[in-house]
Amino acid sequence: MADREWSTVDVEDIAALTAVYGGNPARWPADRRAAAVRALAADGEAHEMVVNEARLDALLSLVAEPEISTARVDSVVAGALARLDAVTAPATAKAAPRRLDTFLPSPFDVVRAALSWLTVRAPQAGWLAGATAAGIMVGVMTMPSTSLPLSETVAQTAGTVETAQADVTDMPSLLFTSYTVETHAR
Amino acid sequence: MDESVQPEPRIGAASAADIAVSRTVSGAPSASIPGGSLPEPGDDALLARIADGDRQAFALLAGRHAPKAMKLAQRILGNAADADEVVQEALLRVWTGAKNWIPDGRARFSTWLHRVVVNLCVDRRRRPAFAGLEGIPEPPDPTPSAVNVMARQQTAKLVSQALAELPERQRLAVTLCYYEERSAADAAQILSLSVSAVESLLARARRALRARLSGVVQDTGEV
Repeated sequence: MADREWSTVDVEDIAALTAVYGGNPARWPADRRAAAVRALAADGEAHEMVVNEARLDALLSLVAEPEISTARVDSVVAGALARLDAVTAPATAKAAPRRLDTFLPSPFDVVRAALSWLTVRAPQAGWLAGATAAGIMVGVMTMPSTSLPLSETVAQTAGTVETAQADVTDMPSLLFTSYTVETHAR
Repeated sequence: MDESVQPEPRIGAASAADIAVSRTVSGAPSASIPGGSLPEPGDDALLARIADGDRQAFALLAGRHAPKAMKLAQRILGNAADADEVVQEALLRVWTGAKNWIPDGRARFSTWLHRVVVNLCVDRRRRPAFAGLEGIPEPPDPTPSAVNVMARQQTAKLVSQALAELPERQRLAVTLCYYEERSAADAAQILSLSVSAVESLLARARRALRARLSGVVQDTGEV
């Protein structure tokens, strides 16, 4: 209905218009009002249609308009003013821009948080995690070096150490790759 | 705003002054602005001041828009007390939301406020209703001269009832477009619908009202 040019309207248009907006031309959309009023003057059927809708409008207008006294308005505004402090004040609600470092925790914060979690929230889990970490560290530190030539290794140790998988270099792989270590005594 | 220069106004005494300011806008006599010849600040300017915590600007804006908002709320809710509470709540949202208002000229503040009021009214209507005094019919006036008035009141009551029985969205569309005299485009913005959806709601509402009021039609011969 809104995409059309409303230079002329016919009875069907008037019917559609009054079915939505009623019989009062003042309520009709401005883009089609003038053409519709012109059509009313020329078409008796359209005119009758509008009169019928205006009767329903007249019934609807019997509903009394709510009376809004000045005292009521004052009371509502005063009530809102009295409650302003209870809600967040707009000036103080504006969030101050945060620097980047305020978003990033310092190393001390990380350690403090970890310690507090370990000691307060879950001591058992803390001990378990600590023991696991220590075990992993020991395993990594005692793992045979893959860069040393076999001859040096042999010279430094009393036996021969062969690693089945030693071609990984990154830490996750080192931690999670199963090593098959065989020591052959001379 | 420099807080050290302009201290926070106290609620009690300052509120009375603020209400006096709001009265100058809502039409009642004013004592706070002599002459009244100063140009009134626009809604956008007031909202910018409210965003900085200006209570007088809030009172001015509230006094300007509260009457229409209260009328709309009362039409939707059917009673004054609930309407006043809803509008007060909506005004508080103006206070907290003013900093988010973008004065780009596309949205009118009154449309935004009415959208908030309509949504709060819809929420309130969905709560379990308290059977207050509003449900008790008033005793009829026994004086013979009141017969015509009573007949008219009776018809008005039937129409109100027919309106109340409409589905919620249809009732809201009728309230906004017929009683608040909003355009379909405005109503569409308030209800977060398209214009064609509002027109469809209006057409269905009129059909339903005509059907429900057919008895009134026959009695009065009006429709």
